[in-house]
Amino acid sequence: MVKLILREKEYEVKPGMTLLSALQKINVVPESVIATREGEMILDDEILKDGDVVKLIAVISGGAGIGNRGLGIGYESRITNCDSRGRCL
Amino acid sequence: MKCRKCGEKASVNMRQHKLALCKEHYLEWVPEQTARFIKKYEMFTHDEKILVAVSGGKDSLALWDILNRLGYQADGLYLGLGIDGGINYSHESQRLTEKFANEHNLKLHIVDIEKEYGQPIPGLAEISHRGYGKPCAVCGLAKRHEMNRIARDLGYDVLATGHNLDDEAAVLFGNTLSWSSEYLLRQGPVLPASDGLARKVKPLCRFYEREMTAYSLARGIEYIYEECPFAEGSQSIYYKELLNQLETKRPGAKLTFYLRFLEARKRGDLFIENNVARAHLHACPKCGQPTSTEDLCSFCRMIEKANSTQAAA
Repeated sequence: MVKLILREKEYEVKPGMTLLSALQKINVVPESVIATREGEMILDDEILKDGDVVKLIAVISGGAGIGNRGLGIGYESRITNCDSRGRCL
Repeated sequence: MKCRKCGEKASVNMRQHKLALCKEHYLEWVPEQTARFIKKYEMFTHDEKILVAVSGGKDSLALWDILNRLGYQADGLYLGLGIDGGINYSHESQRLTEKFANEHNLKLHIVDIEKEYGQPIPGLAEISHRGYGKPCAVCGLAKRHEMNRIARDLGYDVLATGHNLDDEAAVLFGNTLSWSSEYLLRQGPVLPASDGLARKVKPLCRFYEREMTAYSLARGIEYIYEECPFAEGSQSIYYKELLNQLETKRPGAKLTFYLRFLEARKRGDLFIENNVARAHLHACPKCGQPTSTEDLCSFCRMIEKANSTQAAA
Protein backbone atom coordinates (compact mmCIF):
# COMPACT_ATOMS: atom_id res chain seq x y z
CA MET A 1 0.00 0.00 0.00
CA VAL A 2 0.93 3.65 -0.33
CA LYS A 3 0.64 5.89 2.70
CA LEU A 4 -0.16 9.59 2.37
CA ILE A 5 0.24 11.84 5.39
CA LEU A 6 -1.41 15.24 5.66
CA ARG A 7 -0.92 17.03 8.97
CA GLU A 8 -2.01 14.50 11.59
CA LYS A 9 -4.08 12.39 9.18
CA GLU A 10 -2.97 9.28 7.35
CA TYR A 11 -4.51 7.79 4.22
CA GLU A 12 -3.80 4.61 2.29
CA VAL A 13 -4.22 4.04 -1.41
CA LYS A 14 -3.37 1.21 -3.75
CA PRO A 15 0.04 1.31 -5.44
CA GLY A 16 0.27 1.87 -9.18
CA MET A 17 -1.78 5.04 -9.37
CA THR A 18 -0.43 8.49 -10.02
CA LEU A 19 -0.09 11.05 -7.28
CA LEU A 20 -2.89 13.05 -8.92
CA SER A 21 -5.23 10.06 -8.81
CA ALA A 22 -4.30 9.40 -5.19
CA LEU A 23 -5.06 12.99 -4.21
CA GLN A 24 -8.40 12.82 -6.00
CA LYS A 25 -9.11 9.54 -4.24
CA ILE A 26 -8.57 11.02 -0.81
CA ASN A 27 -10.38 14.21 -1.81
CA VAL A 28 -7.50 16.62 -1.43
CA VAL A 29 -7.30 19.53 -3.88
CA PRO A 30 -3.93 19.13 -5.64
CA GLU A 31 -3.37 22.89 -5.69
CA SER A 32 -3.49 22.96 -1.89
CA VAL A 33 -0.55 20.66 -1.22
CA ILE A 34 2.99 19.82 -2.23
CA ALA A 35 3.90 16.15 -2.09
CA THR A 36 7.29 14.90 -0.95
CA ARG A 37 8.71 11.39 -0.91
CA GLU A 38 11.94 10.77 0.97
CA GLY A 39 12.33 14.53 1.26
CA GLU A 40 12.10 15.20 -2.48
CA MET A 41 9.19 16.96 -4.15
CA ILE A 42 7.19 14.78 -6.54
CA LEU A 43 4.73 15.82 -9.23
CA ASP A 44 1.20 14.83 -10.16
CA ASP A 45 2.29 12.29 -12.79
CA GLU A 46 4.49 10.32 -10.38
CA ILE A 47 3.47 6.65 -10.15
CA LEU A 48 3.22 5.63 -6.51
CA LYS A 49 4.84 2.34 -5.57
CA ASP A 50 4.04 -0.15 -2.86
CA GLY A 51 5.58 0.98 0.43
CA ASP A 52 5.86 4.64 -0.59
CA VAL A 53 5.25 7.16 2.17
CA VAL A 54 4.16 10.49 0.73
CA LYS A 55 4.12 13.53 2.97
CA LEU A 56 1.63 16.16 1.86
CA ILE A 57 2.61 19.66 2.86
CA ALA A 58 -0.30 22.07 3.13
CA VAL A 59 0.46 25.28 1.29
CA ILE A 60 -2.43 27.42 2.52
CA SER A 61 -1.47 29.52 5.49
CA GLY A 62 -3.65 29.05 8.50
CA GLY A 63 -5.26 26.41 10.64
CA ALA A 64 -2.92 24.94 13.22
CA GLY A 65 -3.55 21.27 13.82
CA ILE A 66 -7.14 21.36 12.71
CA GLY A 67 -8.42 17.97 11.65
CA ASN A 68 -10.68 18.34 8.70
CA ARG A 69 -10.11 21.99 8.07
CA GLY A 70 -9.38 23.06 4.78
CA LEU A 71 -7.75 21.26 1.96
CA GLY A 72 -10.50 19.14 0.52
CA ILE A 73 -13.33 19.62 -1.90
CA GLY A 74 -15.58 20.63 0.95
CA TYR A 75 -15.40 20.72 4.69
CA GLU A 76 -17.53 17.65 5.12
CA SER A 77 -16.91 15.66 1.99
CA ARG A 78 -13.17 15.18 2.19
CA ILE A 79 -13.27 11.86 3.99
CA THR A 80 -16.59 10.64 2.62
CA ASN A 81 -15.15 7.57 0.92
CA CYS A 82 -12.67 6.66 3.63
CA ASP A 83 -13.00 4.49 6.67
CA SER A 84 -12.53 5.72 10.21
CA ARG A 85 -8.76 5.58 9.84
CA GLY A 86 -8.87 7.67 6.71
CA ARG A 87 -8.04 4.76 4.41
CA CYS A 88 -9.44 5.09 0.91
CA LEU A 89 -9.28 1.72 -0.73
CA MET B 1 7.75 15.39 -16.23
CA LYS B 2 11.03 16.96 -17.40
CA CYS B 3 12.66 20.27 -16.59
CA ARG B 4 12.21 22.64 -19.50
CA LYS B 5 15.73 23.98 -19.10
CA CYS B 6 17.87 20.85 -18.68
CA GLY B 7 15.60 17.85 -19.36
CA GLU B 8 16.24 16.32 -15.93
CA LYS B 9 13.37 15.18 -13.73
CA ALA B 10 11.22 18.19 -12.76
CA SER B 11 10.45 19.01 -9.12
CA VAL B 12 8.00 21.86 -9.62
CA ASN B 13 5.25 22.15 -12.21
CA MET B 14 3.56 25.50 -12.73
CA ARG B 15 0.55 24.70 -14.87
CA GLN B 16 -0.42 28.37 -15.19
CA HIS B 17 2.89 29.02 -16.94
CA LYS B 18 3.07 25.60 -18.66
CA LEU B 19 6.49 25.39 -17.05
CA ALA B 20 8.12 22.51 -15.18
CA LEU B 21 11.57 22.92 -13.63
CA CYS B 22 14.05 20.84 -11.70
CA LYS B 23 15.02 21.98 -8.21
CA GLU B 24 18.21 23.67 -9.36
CA HIS B 25 16.58 25.66 -12.15
CA TYR B 26 13.56 26.49 -9.99
CA LEU B 27 15.87 28.06 -7.42
CA GLU B 28 17.32 30.21 -10.20
CA TRP B 29 13.94 31.05 -11.73
CA VAL B 30 12.27 32.41 -8.56
CA PRO B 31 14.81 35.20 -7.86
CA GLU B 32 14.92 36.07 -11.57
CA GLN B 33 11.16 36.51 -11.62
CA THR B 34 11.19 38.44 -8.34
CA ALA B 35 13.77 40.84 -9.77
CA ARG B 36 11.54 41.27 -12.81
CA PHE B 37 8.47 42.11 -10.68
CA ILE B 38 10.47 44.54 -8.51
CA LYS B 39 11.52 46.36 -11.67
CA LYS B 40 8.16 46.15 -13.43
CA TYR B 41 6.22 47.64 -10.52
CA GLU B 42 9.06 50.04 -9.59
CA MET B 43 9.17 48.76 -6.03
CA PHE B 44 12.71 49.80 -5.02
CA THR B 45 16.30 50.03 -6.19
CA HIS B 46 19.56 48.59 -4.91
CA ASP B 47 20.34 51.98 -3.34
CA GLU B 48 17.33 51.91 -1.05
CA LYS B 49 17.08 50.44 2.45
CA ILE B 50 14.41 47.77 2.74
CA LEU B 51 12.68 46.55 5.88
CA VAL B 52 11.23 43.07 5.43
CA ALA B 53 8.37 42.12 7.72
CA VAL B 54 9.19 38.56 8.78
CA SER B 55 6.83 36.30 10.68
CA GLY B 56 8.75 33.03 10.63
CA GLY B 57 6.39 31.74 7.93
CA LYS B 58 7.40 30.43 4.52
CA ASP B 59 6.55 33.54 2.50
CA SER B 60 8.32 36.20 4.55
CA LEU B 61 11.42 34.09 5.11
CA ALA B 62 11.52 33.21 1.41
CA LEU B 63 11.20 36.90 0.53
CA TRP B 64 14.05 37.82 2.86
CA ASP B 65 16.15 35.03 1.37
CA ILE B 66 15.44 36.11 -2.21
CA LEU B 67 16.16 39.81 -1.57
CA ASN B 68 19.39 38.81 0.11
CA ARG B 69 20.35 36.61 -2.84
CA LEU B 70 19.56 39.48 -5.20
CA GLY B 71 21.93 41.74 -3.28
CA TYR B 72 19.42 44.18 -1.78
CA GLN B 73 19.99 45.92 1.57
CA ALA B 74 17.20 44.11 3.37
CA ASP B 75 16.90 43.97 7.15
CA GLY B 76 14.18 42.07 8.97
CA LEU B 77 11.49 43.11 11.40
CA TYR B 78 9.85 40.55 13.65
CA LEU B 79 6.84 41.53 15.75
CA GLY B 80 6.34 39.45 18.89
CA LEU B 81 2.57 39.13 19.10
CA GLY B 82 2.38 37.03 22.25
CA ILE B 83 0.17 34.32 20.74
CA ASP B 84 0.44 30.88 22.26
CA GLY B 85 -2.63 28.92 21.14
CA GLY B 86 -1.34 25.76 22.81
CA ILE B 87 1.50 25.45 20.28
CA ASN B 88 3.83 28.14 21.55
CA TYR B 89 3.17 29.89 18.26
CA SER B 90 4.89 33.25 18.76
CA HIS B 91 7.84 31.77 20.61
CA GLU B 92 8.45 29.20 17.88
CA SER B 93 8.05 31.66 15.02
CA GLN B 94 10.52 34.04 16.69
CA ARG B 95 13.01 31.22 17.22
CA LEU B 96 12.86 30.25 13.53
CA THR B 97 13.18 33.87 12.40
CA GLU B 98 16.22 34.43 14.61
CA LYS B 99 17.73 31.17 13.41
CA PHE B 100 17.34 32.24 9.79
CA ALA B 101 18.83 35.69 10.50
CA ASN B 102 21.83 34.18 12.32
CA GLU B 103 22.49 31.57 9.66
CA HIS B 104 22.45 34.19 6.90
CA ASN B 105 24.14 36.90 8.94
CA LEU B 106 21.21 39.29 8.49
CA LYS B 107 20.12 42.17 10.69
CA LEU B 108 16.85 41.56 12.53
CA HIS B 109 14.83 44.03 14.60
CA ILE B 110 12.54 42.47 17.18
CA VAL B 111 9.64 44.36 18.69
CA ASP B 112 7.62 42.72 21.44
CA ILE B 113 4.08 44.06 21.55
CA GLU B 114 3.59 43.19 25.22
CA LYS B 115 6.81 44.96 26.23
CA GLU B 116 5.87 48.01 24.18
CA TYR B 117 2.19 48.27 25.08
CA GLY B 118 1.71 46.23 28.24
CA GLN B 119 -0.43 43.49 26.68
CA PRO B 120 0.05 40.81 24.03
CA ILE B 121 -2.29 40.86 21.02
CA PRO B 122 -4.98 38.58 22.55
CA GLY B 123 -4.96 40.79 25.68
CA LEU B 124 -5.28 43.98 23.65
CA ALA B 125 -8.18 42.44 21.72
CA GLU B 126 -9.98 41.48 24.89
CA ILE B 127 -9.53 44.86 26.53
CA SER B 128 -10.47 46.86 23.45
CA HIS B 129 -13.50 44.64 22.58
CA ARG B 130 -12.54 44.74 18.92
CA GLY B 131 -12.91 41.87 16.49
CA TYR B 132 -15.95 39.88 17.66
CA GLY B 133 -14.05 37.52 19.96
CA LYS B 134 -11.09 37.03 17.65
CA PRO B 135 -7.88 39.07 17.89
CA CYS B 136 -7.28 39.16 14.12
CA ALA B 137 -8.55 42.72 13.61
CA VAL B 138 -6.43 44.03 16.49
CA CYS B 139 -3.47 42.00 15.25
CA GLY B 140 -3.73 43.46 11.73
CA LEU B 141 -4.10 46.96 13.10
CA ALA B 142 -1.13 46.58 15.46
CA LYS B 143 1.06 45.03 12.77
CA ARG B 144 0.34 47.81 10.25
CA HIS B 145 0.98 50.44 12.91
CA GLU B 146 4.20 48.93 14.21
CA MET B 147 5.65 48.05 10.83
CA ASN B 148 5.11 51.60 9.67
CA ARG B 149 6.47 53.07 12.90
CA ILE B 150 9.69 51.05 12.78
CA ALA B 151 10.22 51.66 9.06
CA ARG B 152 9.78 55.41 9.57
CA ASP B 153 11.74 55.70 12.86
CA LEU B 154 14.70 53.68 11.61
CA GLY B 155 14.87 55.47 8.28
CA TYR B 156 13.95 52.65 5.90
CA ASP B 157 12.86 53.65 2.41
CA VAL B 158 10.42 50.84 1.94
CA LEU B 159 8.58 48.14 3.83
CA ALA B 160 8.36 44.75 2.07
CA THR B 161 5.88 42.03 2.98
CA GLY B 162 5.67 38.41 1.82
CA HIS B 163 2.14 38.53 0.41
CA ASN B 164 1.82 36.00 -2.40
CA LEU B 165 -0.69 35.81 -5.24
CA ASP B 166 -3.08 33.61 -3.27
CA ASP B 167 -3.15 36.21 -0.48
CA GLU B 168 -3.83 38.94 -3.00
CA ALA B 169 -6.41 36.95 -4.96
CA ALA B 170 -8.26 36.03 -1.75
CA VAL B 171 -8.44 39.69 -0.70
CA LEU B 172 -9.51 40.69 -4.19
CA PHE B 173 -12.16 37.98 -4.22
CA GLY B 174 -13.54 39.10 -0.86
CA ASN B 175 -13.60 42.75 -1.86
CA THR B 176 -15.23 41.90 -5.17
CA LEU B 177 -17.94 39.85 -3.49
CA SER B 178 -18.83 42.88 -1.40
CA TRP B 179 -17.95 45.44 -4.11
CA SER B 180 -15.76 47.30 -1.66
CA SER B 181 -14.67 49.88 -4.20
CA GLU B 182 -12.50 51.86 -1.82
CA TYR B 183 -10.43 48.79 -0.98
CA LEU B 184 -10.34 47.61 -4.59
CA LEU B 185 -8.89 50.93 -5.70
CA ARG B 186 -6.11 50.67 -3.13
CA GLN B 187 -5.02 47.08 -3.71
CA GLY B 188 -1.80 46.54 -5.64
CA PRO B 189 1.85 45.47 -5.53
CA VAL B 190 2.92 48.93 -4.36
CA LEU B 191 1.29 51.29 -1.91
CA PRO B 192 3.14 54.59 -2.41
CA ALA B 193 4.50 56.52 0.53
CA SER B 194 2.34 59.33 1.80
CA ASP B 195 2.47 61.66 4.80
CA GLY B 196 3.73 59.57 7.69
CA LEU B 197 3.30 56.30 5.82
CA ALA B 198 6.21 54.29 4.45
CA ARG B 199 6.04 52.85 0.92
CA LYS B 200 4.80 49.27 1.08
CA VAL B 201 5.64 46.64 -1.52
CA LYS B 202 4.78 43.00 -2.18
CA PRO B 203 7.55 41.50 -4.33
CA LEU B 204 6.03 37.97 -4.22
CA CYS B 205 2.58 39.07 -5.34
CA ARG B 206 2.76 37.11 -8.60
CA PHE B 207 3.90 33.80 -7.13
CA TYR B 208 1.35 31.21 -6.09
CA GLU B 209 1.43 30.20 -2.44
CA ARG B 210 2.32 26.72 -3.65
CA GLU B 211 5.37 28.09 -5.43
CA MET B 212 6.62 29.82 -2.30
CA THR B 213 6.20 26.61 -0.33
CA ALA B 214 8.20 24.80 -3.01
CA TYR B 215 10.88 27.49 -2.87
CA SER B 216 11.21 27.25 0.92
CA LEU B 217 11.40 23.46 0.76
CA ALA B 218 13.94 23.49 -2.05
CA ARG B 219 16.08 26.08 -0.25
CA GLY B 220 15.87 24.18 3.02
CA ILE B 221 14.31 27.14 4.82
CA GLU B 222 12.94 26.04 8.17
CA TYR B 223 9.64 27.87 8.67
CA ILE B 224 6.73 27.61 11.05
CA TYR B 225 4.39 25.11 9.41
CA GLU B 226 1.55 25.57 11.83
CA GLU B 227 0.02 28.94 11.13
CA CYS B 228 -1.53 31.26 13.64
CA PRO B 229 -4.06 29.33 15.80
CA PHE B 230 -6.54 32.17 15.39
CA ALA B 231 -6.55 31.71 11.60
CA GLU B 232 -8.84 28.67 11.93
CA GLY B 233 -12.01 29.11 9.92
CA SER B 234 -10.98 32.50 8.61
CA GLN B 235 -12.68 33.93 5.58
CA SER B 236 -9.44 34.43 3.67
CA ILE B 237 -8.54 30.76 4.02
CA TYR B 238 -11.98 29.76 2.80
CA TYR B 239 -11.58 32.02 -0.24
CA LYS B 240 -8.16 30.52 -0.93
CA GLU B 241 -9.68 27.06 -0.90
CA LEU B 242 -12.42 28.08 -3.28
CA LEU B 243 -9.90 29.66 -5.63
CA ASN B 244 -7.74 26.53 -5.51
CA GLN B 245 -10.68 24.42 -6.56
CA LEU B 246 -11.15 26.77 -9.49
CA GLU B 247 -7.43 26.66 -10.26
CA THR B 248 -7.44 22.86 -10.31
CA LYS B 249 -10.07 22.89 -13.07
CA ARG B 250 -8.82 26.02 -14.80
CA PRO B 251 -5.04 26.39 -14.47
CA GLY B 252 -4.12 30.06 -14.45
CA ALA B 253 -7.50 31.27 -13.17
CA LYS B 254 -6.03 32.85 -10.01
CA LEU B 255 -3.25 34.56 -11.93
CA THR B 256 -5.64 35.90 -14.56
CA PHE B 257 -8.06 37.11 -11.90
CA TYR B 258 -5.34 39.15 -10.20
CA LEU B 259 -3.45 40.39 -13.25
CA ARG B 260 -6.56 41.48 -15.15
CA PHE B 261 -7.61 43.40 -12.06
CA LEU B 262 -4.23 45.15 -11.90
CA GLU B 263 -4.46 45.99 -15.60
CA ALA B 264 -7.98 47.39 -15.23
CA ARG B 265 -6.91 49.42 -12.22
CA LYS B 266 -3.90 50.82 -14.06
CA ARG B 267 -6.06 51.80 -17.03
CA GLY B 268 -8.46 53.50 -14.67
CA ASP B 269 -11.28 51.20 -15.68
CA LEU B 270 -12.60 50.54 -12.19
CA PHE B 271 -15.57 52.45 -10.86
CA ILE B 272 -15.22 55.56 -12.96
CA GLU B 273 -18.27 57.38 -14.18
CA ASN B 274 -16.63 58.07 -17.53
CA ASN B 275 -16.74 54.37 -18.22
CA VAL B 276 -20.50 54.58 -18.38
CA ALA B 277 -20.24 57.03 -21.25
CA ARG B 278 -17.60 54.89 -22.89
CA ALA B 279 -19.92 51.93 -22.62
CA HIS B 280 -22.50 53.76 -24.77
CA LEU B 281 -23.76 51.53 -27.55
CA HIS B 282 -23.91 52.42 -31.24
CA ALA B 283 -26.05 50.99 -33.98
CA CYS B 284 -24.21 48.59 -36.27
CA PRO B 285 -24.10 50.21 -39.74
CA LYS B 286 -25.06 46.90 -41.32
CA CYS B 287 -27.70 45.24 -39.16
CA GLY B 288 -28.70 48.13 -36.90
CA GLN B 289 -28.35 46.13 -33.71
CA PRO B 290 -26.53 47.82 -30.79
CA THR B 291 -22.77 47.36 -30.55
CA SER B 292 -20.02 48.82 -28.38
CA THR B 293 -17.91 49.84 -31.39
CA GLU B 294 -18.77 52.47 -33.98
CA ASP B 295 -18.00 49.96 -36.71
CA LEU B 296 -19.71 46.67 -37.54
CA CYS B 297 -20.99 44.56 -34.66
CA SER B 298 -19.16 41.33 -33.79
CA PHE B 299 -21.74 39.18 -35.57
CA CYS B 300 -21.54 41.13 -38.82
CA ARG B 301 -17.74 41.11 -38.66
CA MET B 302 -17.83 37.34 -38.24
CA ILE B 303 -20.19 36.88 -41.19
CA GLU B 304 -18.07 39.17 -43.34
CA LYS B 305 -14.98 37.21 -42.48
CA ALA B 306 -16.74 33.91 -43.18
CA ASN B 307 -17.98 35.21 -46.55
CA SER B 308 -14.57 36.49 -47.58
CA THR B 309 -12.94 33.21 -46.56
CA GLN B 310 -15.51 31.22 -48.57
CA ALA B 311 -15.05 33.50 -51.56
CA ALA B 312 -11.29 33.02 -51.45
CA ALA B 313 -11.58 29.22 -51.27
